[in-house]
Amino acid sequence: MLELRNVGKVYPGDMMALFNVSLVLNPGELVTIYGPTGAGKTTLIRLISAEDVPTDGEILFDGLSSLRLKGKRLLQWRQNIGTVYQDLRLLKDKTVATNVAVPLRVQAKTKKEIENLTLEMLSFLRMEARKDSYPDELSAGEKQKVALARALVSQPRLILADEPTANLDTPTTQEILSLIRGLNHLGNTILLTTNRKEVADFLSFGKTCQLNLGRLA
Amino acid sequence: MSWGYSLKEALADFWQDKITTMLAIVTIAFSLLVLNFFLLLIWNLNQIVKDFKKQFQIQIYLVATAQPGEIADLEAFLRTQPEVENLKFVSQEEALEEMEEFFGADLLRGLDENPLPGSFVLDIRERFRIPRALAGLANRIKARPGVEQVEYGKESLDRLDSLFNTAVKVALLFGGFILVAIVLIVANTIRLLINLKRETVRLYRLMGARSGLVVLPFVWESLILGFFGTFLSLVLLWGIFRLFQIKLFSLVFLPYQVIFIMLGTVLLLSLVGGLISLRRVARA
Repeated sequence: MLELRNVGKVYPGDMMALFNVSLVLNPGELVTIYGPTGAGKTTLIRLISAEDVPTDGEILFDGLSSLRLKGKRLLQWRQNIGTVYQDLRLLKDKTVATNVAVPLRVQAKTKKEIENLTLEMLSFLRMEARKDSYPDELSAGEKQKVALARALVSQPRLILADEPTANLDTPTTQEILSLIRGLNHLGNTILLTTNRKEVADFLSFGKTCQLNLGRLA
Repeated sequence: MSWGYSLKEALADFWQDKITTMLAIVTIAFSLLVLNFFLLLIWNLNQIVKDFKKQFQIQIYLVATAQPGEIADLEAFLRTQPEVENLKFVSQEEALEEMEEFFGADLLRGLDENPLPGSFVLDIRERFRIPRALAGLANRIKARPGVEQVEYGKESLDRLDSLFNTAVKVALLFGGFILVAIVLIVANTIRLLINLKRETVRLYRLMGARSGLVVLPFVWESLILGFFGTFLSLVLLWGIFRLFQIKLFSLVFLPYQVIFIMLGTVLLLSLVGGLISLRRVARA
């Protein structure tokens, strides 16, 4: 489903963020990328989600190549990936329900479909009571759940989670990780990054790769 | 692509950034007010010129010694002129009667001879009621035997025409600047709104949104700015119009056709202004 072939990323100023990264992710698999801050985890997520382009190598996703990725193919690539960003990127002026519904609007679902799928997802994450709240009214764990709901709601082919437990206390971390594990058991393909050993250990039933100074071990 | 949803988004954005939006609308309204004021002035001047020309007549005074044959020749000549719609001959006796009727019989008592000349009064076809055509006709008539003087209110007509032409030139000059200014105001406001919404735009793009979905709310916003700017300027113009109408003289307001053309033009220019700023978003 996802294959990274000798992917590299050099930022302006010759700052090398990733070097010769190769990785295969099969359908239904969960891969944890574990590494310290500055290892290149977020860069990896940005390249896979087509937020940025590699300077070397190629990424293959669902029959599409990252080389000359533009137009309809770029939209298709992005629509098939649900991302939980490290900084969450929730829209502060929109309610929880509206935030969660963004990918459905992007995919031009009908009003009824948007309402139903959003409520279903919020109810799955036990967040339906907060559907009319605004992000600033939520706890850190609730915000994380909203970001997760938004990444899942359109049932993407691949879920990317960039440090989904950063800044969460232990009980909330456990809750989020249990949810991710549950999602994987339901057949979702997930790539997750973390700098916490306990998170990597918790998800060790899947594949774990170590990333250090832009190199994948 | 949902037009209704994007309109709702646009209105919500406006409500959220009330000050930016209001400032833009007021700036557009006041810029347009200058243009609309000139339009109103031109429209009213045009009415005055039209009214003046409607009552337009040429007077041809004959020499006292004009012979019946000369008068008949002149009448025949006048009837062949394309500018002439109708003509009426006023004899010396008729002129005297009119004068006595107007000023009273005492005024001319004691004179041995009737001092008033015979004359022709010409009605001119509407399309020839312009200074150049009238001057040409007057010169041709003056050259005929038996004609003493030709009068057609040349100075008044020249002055009115020159005032009207100056007003049109000023309006075109100001109008050009103002219409360019509207494009720039809308472009700038939309750029500000895009900056305020850049995180939303970025998120939508990262989720694979087509350009239309991202751009449409801003297109609505451009049109709304233009619409409310025009509306406010018309309200202000109406206020000024009422004030002048009461204090000075009778004026006519801009007809709805002119208002619709102006609204259409402003909406089009607002759209252009919006699209200038949206090029980058559409490409992102």
